[in-house]
Amino acid sequence: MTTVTSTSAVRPEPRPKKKIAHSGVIGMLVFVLTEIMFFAGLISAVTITRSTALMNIWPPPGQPRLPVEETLINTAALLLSGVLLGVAHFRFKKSPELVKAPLIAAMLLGAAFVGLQGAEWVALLAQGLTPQSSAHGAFFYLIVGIHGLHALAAIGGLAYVLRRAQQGRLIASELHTAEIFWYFVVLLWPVIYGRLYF
Amino acid sequence: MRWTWVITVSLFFAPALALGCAVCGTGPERSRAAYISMTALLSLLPLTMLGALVWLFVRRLRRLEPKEGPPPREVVSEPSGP
Repeated sequence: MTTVTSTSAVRPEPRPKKKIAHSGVIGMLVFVLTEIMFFAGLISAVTITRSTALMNIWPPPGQPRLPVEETLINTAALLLSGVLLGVAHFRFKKSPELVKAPLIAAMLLGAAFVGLQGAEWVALLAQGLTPQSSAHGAFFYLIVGIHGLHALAAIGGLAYVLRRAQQGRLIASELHTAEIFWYFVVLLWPVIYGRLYF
Repeated sequence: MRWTWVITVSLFFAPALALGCAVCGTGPERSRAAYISMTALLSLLPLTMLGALVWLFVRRLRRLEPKEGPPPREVVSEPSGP
């Protein structure tokens, strides 16, 4: 006669999949990291070029000085827009409906920044600072221009978020993705301002 | 351990002694400092950012871990031979 006994085999239960962050947020973080390195390369090039300037004179002789005081207003507008987006972030936790007002204000301030930068470009071109006039002009238009393009793209992102909020379909990950890009644009500007204008 | 220190110190001072960097032999002190500081920035910035990203993900993952201990185990009875 054969006896059948039973023994216990322990099999672990499959762990539930955990999502540490939305894929859009991770994608935007990785994109911003690459953009930071891109701007770090440009800023590094400016720093080295300035360090080799003849007699330590910068801007080079005959080139106009960049408008430090006027640009301070643009800088303040951009920083304020970042604060307003932070307000939108906290208001979203209460209700997605509450993000509209700070979002619109942030977008308007961002658009004002880009508009004022455009006006500054027109004035500097009239004063003789062109991309071909010197390394100073080339770096200025290249770096400020690329930053301006990023600001326009970020405003586009905020406009998309606003449209979703107006439709009542805004989700947290969409807001956070647009926020990361806008904070990148906002926090990068003081670095560019400090490096190029002074 | 002693060799680690020797190698580390050499890495800092040997390039200048061996004229092994782009501005070691020529140029003013200002441009030398600019080259060295920008090399340090471009070398350390990506490592710092990737480290911060990994740290952020690990922290979020730890927060998602259940606090009551290991996951429940399923006990399966299996027939065994004679």
